Amino acid sequence: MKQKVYEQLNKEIYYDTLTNGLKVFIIPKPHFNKTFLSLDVNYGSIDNTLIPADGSNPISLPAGVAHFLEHKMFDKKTYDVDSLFNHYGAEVNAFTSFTDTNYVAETTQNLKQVLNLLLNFVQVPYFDAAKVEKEKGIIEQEIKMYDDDPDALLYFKTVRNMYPHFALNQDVAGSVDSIQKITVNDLYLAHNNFYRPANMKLVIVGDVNPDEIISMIKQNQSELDLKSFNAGKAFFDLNDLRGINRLEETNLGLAQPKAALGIKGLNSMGNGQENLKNELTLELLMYILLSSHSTLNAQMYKNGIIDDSFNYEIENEHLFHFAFISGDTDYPDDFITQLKHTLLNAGQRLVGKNNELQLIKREMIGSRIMQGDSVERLALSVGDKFNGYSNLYDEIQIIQQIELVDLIDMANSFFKLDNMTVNIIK
Amino acid sequence: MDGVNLQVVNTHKFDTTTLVINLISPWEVTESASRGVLSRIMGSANADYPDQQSFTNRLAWLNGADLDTDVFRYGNTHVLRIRMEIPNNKMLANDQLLKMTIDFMASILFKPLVSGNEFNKELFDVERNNLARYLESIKDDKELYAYRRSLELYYSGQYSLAQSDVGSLADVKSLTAQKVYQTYLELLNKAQIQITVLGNVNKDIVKTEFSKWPFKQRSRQSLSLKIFDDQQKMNMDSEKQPIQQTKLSLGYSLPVYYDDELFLAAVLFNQILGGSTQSRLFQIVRERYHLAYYADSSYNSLMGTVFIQAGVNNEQLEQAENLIQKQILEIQAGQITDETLTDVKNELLNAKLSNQDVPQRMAISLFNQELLGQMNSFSVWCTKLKRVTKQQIVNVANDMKLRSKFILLGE
Repeated sequence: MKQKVYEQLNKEIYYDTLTNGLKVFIIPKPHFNKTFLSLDVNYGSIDNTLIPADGSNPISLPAGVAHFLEHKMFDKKTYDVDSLFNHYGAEVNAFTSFTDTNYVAETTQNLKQVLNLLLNFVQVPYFDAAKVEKEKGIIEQEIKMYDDDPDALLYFKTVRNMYPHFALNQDVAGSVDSIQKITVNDLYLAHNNFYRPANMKLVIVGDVNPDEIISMIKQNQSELDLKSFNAGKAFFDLNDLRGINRLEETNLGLAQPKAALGIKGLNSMGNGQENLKNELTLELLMYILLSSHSTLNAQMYKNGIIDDSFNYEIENEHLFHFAFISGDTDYPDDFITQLKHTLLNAGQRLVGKNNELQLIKREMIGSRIMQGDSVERLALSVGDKFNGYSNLYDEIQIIQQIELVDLIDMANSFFKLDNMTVNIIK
Repeated sequence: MDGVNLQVVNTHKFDTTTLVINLISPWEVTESASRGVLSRIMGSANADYPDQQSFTNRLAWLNGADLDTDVFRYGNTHVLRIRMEIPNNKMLANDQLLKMTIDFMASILFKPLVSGNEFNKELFDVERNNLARYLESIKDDKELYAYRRSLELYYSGQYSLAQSDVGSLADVKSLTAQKVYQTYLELLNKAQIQITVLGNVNKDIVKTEFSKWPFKQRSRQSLSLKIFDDQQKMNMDSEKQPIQQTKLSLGYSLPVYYDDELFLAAVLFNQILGGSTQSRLFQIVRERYHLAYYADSSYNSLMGTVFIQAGVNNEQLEQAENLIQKQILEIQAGQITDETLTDVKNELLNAKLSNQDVPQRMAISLFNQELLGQMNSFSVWCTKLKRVTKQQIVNVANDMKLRSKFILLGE
């Protein structure tokens, strides 16, 4: 097992890759009562086309399989997953994103039992045709609930317009029509090909002894009679990432309009540390331009163009990255115009603003240090292969290295009119 | 000094240092809205940092310090709370951070942005309007609306007891910048002050800094926390609104308070009834019979009450009510399995252990202990928990009496 020490922060992380390919990360938090466990599968809603291990023809799965599969993992033949976790004094949860399915548990007792249960219930599949049919009704309700939510709609429509031909053009849960097509076989196919140890990472944060934990995990993995099934891989035609729809307006009869600006990243963010540094640079850039510190924000707030619902976020994954800025506004056109103007001129505006940058770096570092007191935040900060499995402590180190020229370069390459899409819901 | 208390707890567990100032005074209906707006003004600007940019820039300079200000009702007591969180000095190249943060809190408390004998007009207007907007939006939260109506029915005729932490919309709208300033002076000079600091800190430095604060002498007040209510009458009402789902809110008296022998039995009773996803209301009313989208209960150990909330289909209202009643009757008749008792104690233990991991919650917990005069150690608490018997829970259940019911009928 390897160890990485962060001397400045007096922290350490232990990591290892098991013989079956499972990546394990252990972050000790002395004196903490709670241990947080995250078993993350690198399989999400965009992984719809599967190339089987034997190289035979690609198989297309209906949209929403990853999310459907996540739901059905909790329904076992001889036991109820939720109840068993509760019996050990633990809580369990799961969520599916565009690229991952994450199963999380937290507990203050019975760590060994909880760890084993987490590994077992995720890695050993059981699906029943009748239960699959029943689940369709439940997930249909969930999809309709999101369809009724104008904020969720705004987000998914914007993403769809940035990637009209790529699998991001589907909601994570799929559609009412697509889930009807899902069969038991689809679930086994997806599980067999994607829920492989080599495609997973396990993160454990709490007052734990790394050697004891890694032994427990190794014992579990050797006892678990996993089929040595050769995994398949998701297939993407990278040409599909091209294209953008510039404008969409929808009328839902809302009391107040909602507007969103999507900015699609076209230049590669790189790999490993470089990727992390670019992501953090983009985060700092957005913050300096759009947070409540900024003159733009104060002005738009004062003029009633934005209110407390103003929000922005960055998505950075292996194959894509984008920014999403939204808000409720009585003046959607002004909202968009002012945002575009600020962003497209950002490179110039930032010249000479080194003091502002240093202040914001100071704030972000302090804020992240405090976030380290949450076992959950710490666990969920562990990244993926494309960013070198970085974590919160790496972020703190890298932020210190970012300078004004990095922000200006990022502004000039990321904010381009051609990359922008506007979405308004009235 | 009398009426001003500083509690410093040193721990190496957290990278966060939490500082909380609590101004404690008796609950007064005429002051609640004013204190509510005051807390928001304090979180916004003061004479040293008079606008949004200088204020937020200072927080950024304090290494991303977090600031929260609010008011809370604790039974017959009202608390205005100013809470800050900063990263530990030792991890930054800034060993002045703790001192600077205490100075910032001093600005909040002792340097209000005033002109003459009233708060700065623009500041007052923004914060008062924000609070008014928030109270107006509560009408859109149908579950909360139903709860508030059932609370008013419970304390029918006793307006003061049913009021929220920040008073009513009408109260907020009728405030003036002058009134809020008077409230500020009153609190500063007369309220009991409880300061809690939790983190990896040097106790002496903390004490030295806070002892510089220019608090005036004040007499020690005896604060009454518990709300006793001897009314026997049961009050009901209903209202129709163009909404999809009917909201039901039931108010019960449960005369067991935080310092009673049976306190933990009452907490466990509430857990079993509707206090978690393992409870009867969740597992049976929602999961098994699908008669409610949400069904839960909450126990208030300062008011001696249990309130049940449920969101049901109009057509199934009677069925849902009956099934809810059935759960109470079954507990009252002693139908609690050994497994349930063990699980629910475990749940409570886990919750307490989890809270100890959150700096914010620990700081509040320390304050609660001081306020309620309960200095039990964790192991004493654990022993008390283990000793709670099924019979005690059943006895507590049988003390419950329905006192109010409000139904917000959907279409």
